[in-house]
Amino acid sequence: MILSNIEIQKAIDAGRLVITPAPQPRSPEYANCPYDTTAVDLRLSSALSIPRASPYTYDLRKSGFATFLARNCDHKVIPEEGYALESGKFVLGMTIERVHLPLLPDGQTLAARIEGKSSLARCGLLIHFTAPTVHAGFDGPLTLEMINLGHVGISLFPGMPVAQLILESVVGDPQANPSQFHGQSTPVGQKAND
Amino acid sequence: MNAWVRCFIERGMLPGEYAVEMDTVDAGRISLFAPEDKVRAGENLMCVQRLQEGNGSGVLVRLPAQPFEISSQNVRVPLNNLVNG
Repeated sequence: MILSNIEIQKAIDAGRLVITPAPQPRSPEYANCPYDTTAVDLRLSSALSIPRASPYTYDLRKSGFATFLARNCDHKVIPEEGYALESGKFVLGMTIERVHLPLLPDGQTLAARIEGKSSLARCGLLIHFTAPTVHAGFDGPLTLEMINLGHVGISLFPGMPVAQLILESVVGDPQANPSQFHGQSTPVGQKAND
Repeated sequence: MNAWVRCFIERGMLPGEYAVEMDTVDAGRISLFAPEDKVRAGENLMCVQRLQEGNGSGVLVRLPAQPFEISSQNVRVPLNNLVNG
């Protein structure tokens, strides 16, 4: 069952959903309210990862594919004047907001789906094209797989509302993995990079 | 119980993540993008959840993210690749 904007805000207040920084303002009386009737907008961060065009073919069976991907992309910070995503080009981005869907007892757990914005879709922009589900227990910013299917470039700006998050209640309590990593401490009980 | 596993760590595709390669007992060398709070990049260590005690075929652990090469986050790693604390 999809949560209304009011129920999303209640879930945030109750700690069933954590979005950092918190979407503001809450009231639709404000023009920049990120809440729609059944969704909340998420914004594009300034970080882009741009896979390099090369003659190789991806083969996920080869070991070390993650490092291969990381070595063969360019990192870009979107300037204030924007980044033009050209027609047919594919980049990875991420949301400014970090989303946490804690595993809770008594049917309180939420899951979510990330979707694009219809206005951007009319220009040809996909912000994800597979794996939209944000599973219960997830904690982190959301990765955006962005491609411009339109015929002209689309300017991307840091902070632009680029996606919307649809919240759904989970029927029954999920069986947690022996470890639910998200939100747990490291072996030394603090962030590894501290 | 959490533990650290020896691995090879590089910058990821996006901020907040690292590209990690590690050896397993049953799946060869695998790779994944791990959240930055689950790695000690300078020490080439990644935090994993230890699921079982070790035996002759290694230790079953759960990875912090899905690897590319296999369809499970649970893998066996050589016992001598685990570092506690």
